[in-house]
Amino acid sequence: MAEDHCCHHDHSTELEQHHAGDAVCVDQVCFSYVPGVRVLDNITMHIPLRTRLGIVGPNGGGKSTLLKLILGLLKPSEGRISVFGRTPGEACCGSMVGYVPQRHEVGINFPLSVAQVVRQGIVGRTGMFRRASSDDRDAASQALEQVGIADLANRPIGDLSGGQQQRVFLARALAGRPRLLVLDEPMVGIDEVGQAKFAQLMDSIHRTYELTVLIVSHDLRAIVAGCDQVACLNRRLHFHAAPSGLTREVLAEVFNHNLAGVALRDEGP
Amino acid sequence: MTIWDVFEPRFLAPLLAGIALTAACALLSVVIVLKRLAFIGQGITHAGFGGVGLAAFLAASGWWRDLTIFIFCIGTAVVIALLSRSRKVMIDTAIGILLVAAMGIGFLLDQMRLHLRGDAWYQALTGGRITPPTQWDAVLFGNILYLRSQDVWLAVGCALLVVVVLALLYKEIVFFAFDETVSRVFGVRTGLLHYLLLIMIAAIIVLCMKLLGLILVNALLIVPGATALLISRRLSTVLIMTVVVGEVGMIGGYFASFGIMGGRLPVGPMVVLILALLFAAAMVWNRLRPSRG
Repeated sequence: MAEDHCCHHDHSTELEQHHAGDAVCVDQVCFSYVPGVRVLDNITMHIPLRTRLGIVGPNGGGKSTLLKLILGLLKPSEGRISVFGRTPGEACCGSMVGYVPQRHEVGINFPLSVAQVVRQGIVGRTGMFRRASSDDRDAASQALEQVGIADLANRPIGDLSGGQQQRVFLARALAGRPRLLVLDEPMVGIDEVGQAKFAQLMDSIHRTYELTVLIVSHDLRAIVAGCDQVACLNRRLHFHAAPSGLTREVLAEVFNHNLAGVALRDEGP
Repeated sequence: MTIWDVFEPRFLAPLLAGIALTAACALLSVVIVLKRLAFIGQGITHAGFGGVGLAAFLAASGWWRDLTIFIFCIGTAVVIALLSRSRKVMIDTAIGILLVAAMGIGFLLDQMRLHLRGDAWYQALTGGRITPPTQWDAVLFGNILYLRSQDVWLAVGCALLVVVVLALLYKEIVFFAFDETVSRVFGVRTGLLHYLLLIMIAAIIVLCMKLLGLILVNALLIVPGATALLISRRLSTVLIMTVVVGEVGMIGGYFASFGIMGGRLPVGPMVVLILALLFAAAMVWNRLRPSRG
């Protein structure tokens, strides 16, 4: 009993430490979908508060899996993850985390307006069987204005273009006033002009909301510009520092593993 | 019988149950169509045959019969829900297998009891009770004359309960249907909603069985929502229209079955036919209309 109590005590001080300077702590995490085949191998990574971290790596390198672990959609096979000193599940339900999923086809006939989709972002704050507070509803409309599509509020979500829909999902993520914003492949399917605009938008959001931002992408260029830190992930964590420290050798190591001759053709096999 | 006989109390009471159940079905159907649960609904209705067979085998009657069927449907719903959350089997495969297995068990059990009647252990199991042969056409197409007055009140009560639950959880359920994974990240308890929806569908199916029949319940669980979603893309309009479409089908079908051919036609098929026509009309209107609003 005494031992148990002691363990418990250790656990909580450790969590407090985590809480102090880091938004996310990934601690010696391994994950496998099939026993024996590790998709993530011994990942340790700390994301300091208010940094913008880009996670890059080849397809199949475990980026999405790491994201799902941080969002609490999967549980690590080994190791621990804490988000603001809590378990990922607790952090998400407490609406500390905003999530912008990878773009996918929204049912064109889905009977929801843009404003209704954005208000989905506050269900976690509101809780079951209750009406949203006026404060939360204000936050939702403010988020809609922040991403610059307030004029589309009453349009059916299916009427919007892909880029516009993505702004809606960004607004939904911001509506719950999160402290961590997670974006999965936000640049996929957007042209260069759109990408530049989106980077600008992310810049202003980062300043306004004082957020920690986590962006996952397979496209290195899309990430380097708007991030303070870059992490290269291909089953293991190959690099985690400011983008200026990235060398060709690191990239070759990360990308060649799976995509010899595709990601960096001039590096050779 | 003529159409005026509808206004006799013994025929008005089933209509009241029908109206209440239709409202619940119609609201559920919007979720079923949006979340693509239609095939799961099929699985649960076919499980009803298994339940009917099991109830006959156990010589259960009255409430016990209803309860047996309900438990069998819920059991099937839970197995479907569990299977649909595993990665090993595709959901439509799982339902396809469960659906025929449940029907097979139902018909076998119903036949077996006839051959086991003389066995001592079977008599001990059933307490020597003998229930009349199962009328499968009534199970298939429903028969309002099977409705007892307590059935009517149970149906009205359960329908109200379903409507209240849907109203209280509507923002979570719509988010769940829109994008299950994302809704989970935003704090919606998706596992709970999934099972809750399946249980509500199973309960409604058992309650509708006597009124419409097992197969035809599916019409009420799909057509009103599908039709309303063709008419509008505004959620509030869809929720109103789905109930309107369902009730037009139910009340219209009820009156038509009394009014045509001296009231010898069953209610269920008539309701389904009207619903199908409403859906076709909505399709045509959807095509002809210049722009969608």
